[in-house]
Amino acid sequence: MNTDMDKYFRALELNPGATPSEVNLAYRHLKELYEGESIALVPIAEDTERRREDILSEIETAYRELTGYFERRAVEAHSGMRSAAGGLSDEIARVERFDGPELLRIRSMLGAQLYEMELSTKVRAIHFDSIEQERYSKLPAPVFLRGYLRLYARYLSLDPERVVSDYMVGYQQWADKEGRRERP
Amino acid sequence: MALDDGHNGLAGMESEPSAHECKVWAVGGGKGGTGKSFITSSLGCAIAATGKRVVMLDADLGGANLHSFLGIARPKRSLTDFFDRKVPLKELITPTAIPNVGLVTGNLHSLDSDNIKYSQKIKLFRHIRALDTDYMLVDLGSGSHPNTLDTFLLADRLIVVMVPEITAIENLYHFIKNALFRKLRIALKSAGGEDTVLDTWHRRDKLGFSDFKGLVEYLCRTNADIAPAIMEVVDGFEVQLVLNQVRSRQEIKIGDSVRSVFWKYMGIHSVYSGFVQRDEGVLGAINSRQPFMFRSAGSACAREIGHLFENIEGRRSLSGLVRV
Repeated sequence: MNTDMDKYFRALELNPGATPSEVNLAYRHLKELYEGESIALVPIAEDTERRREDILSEIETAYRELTGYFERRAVEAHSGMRSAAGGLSDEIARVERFDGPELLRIRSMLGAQLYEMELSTKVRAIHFDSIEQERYSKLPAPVFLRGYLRLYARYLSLDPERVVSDYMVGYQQWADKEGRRERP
Repeated sequence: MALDDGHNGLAGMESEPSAHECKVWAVGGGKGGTGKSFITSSLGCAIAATGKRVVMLDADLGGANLHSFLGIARPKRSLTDFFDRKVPLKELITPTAIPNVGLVTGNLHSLDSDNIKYSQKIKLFRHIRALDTDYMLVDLGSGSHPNTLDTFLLADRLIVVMVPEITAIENLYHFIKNALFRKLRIALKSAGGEDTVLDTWHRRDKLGFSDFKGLVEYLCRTNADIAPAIMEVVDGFEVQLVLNQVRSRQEIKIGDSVRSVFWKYMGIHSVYSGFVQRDEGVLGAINSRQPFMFRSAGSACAREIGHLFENIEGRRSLSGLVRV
């Protein structure tokens, strides 16, 4: 664990292993406390404004540093995933159309699991599965479907607009056959 | 030297009492009316309900009332008999309406005397620890009399009770500051620095700091020889915070705010052990001299006291807290 970051965790009164959402919550609570007139603060802060200013700037600095630290870590993890995929970018460049089976193929090559994607994107895995299996009748209305496709694409670092326009071709063909009109 | 005789300098931190020694929990907090006696007696009931034996010590200099919370009349004998007539402590324990709970009363004469030497307090504590009981709970009452502070500092758990009122919190900060000054004074006595702390504090405007944390930083910076002793006092000091008479969910987080302020302004560790909600049944229990925990055993308030006992025992903080 990066010990430089320890002092920032301590400034937010957290343990060094705290998660980004814990950091966010602690930052909000402490900022609210030390900017406000809580009865816990007023009796002791009356004698000194300087301490309060120091505390607030310490909290801001800690939050800024920790946010940067988490972002750097996420980028490293992400590019780690990419470089591990090796010639995958060539594979992806060769794809003619991103339909269900293609998306499934790429996801498998990247080793991404549907349940992970559900945790990250908050979209239920069954929807992604229906997309891949082209169970068009089970999919939601186009406006939602496009949103799911973009989330799916971003998770796998694919071009979201390309995935949407490719996939919707197949979806539209089915919809026309079924006599459904697409709504914007 | 009498000062080091049995002196458990780092209250609650260095080591837990050994198996045959009783655990001493002191309940203080500076302001009257926050419910220290209620919390002390209720914790005692919660502990006794687990099958452990509890002796309570009523050390309230403002007037001993703990017996009313425990369902009995004021005991005739008191700590005066211990100090003056050398009666063994265990003979001063009066049974109460609660199985496994006994009571020892201090009284005004014995406890607010400035003539009780520090060595006598140490002796009392040694006898307390040797008592054949599992827990001793000390109700310190309000105020910062040296005897109150010394008793507080010698305990295994330093518990303070506050309510969500600005005056109670203000008094709490005073009380803790006084306790720390007292602890520093005792620790520095052997190094000849016991007056340094107060002198430096009184000159703080000139010296450029304004709170206890500033005092500690200044002292450590300018007095390298006593810096280790000072840091040991501060690092070894831990308070268990109890927020009583809570009336709304918004008030709960005040306990955590106080914990943060202790850290940021005084540099000391505290644990927000829990809150107890305001319950109209408490007054009825007190007035009819019946232990609340018996009368209202199923109440939310009683449950909270049960959790409070567990958290204080394990030095754990209220879980799922404010980070909600």
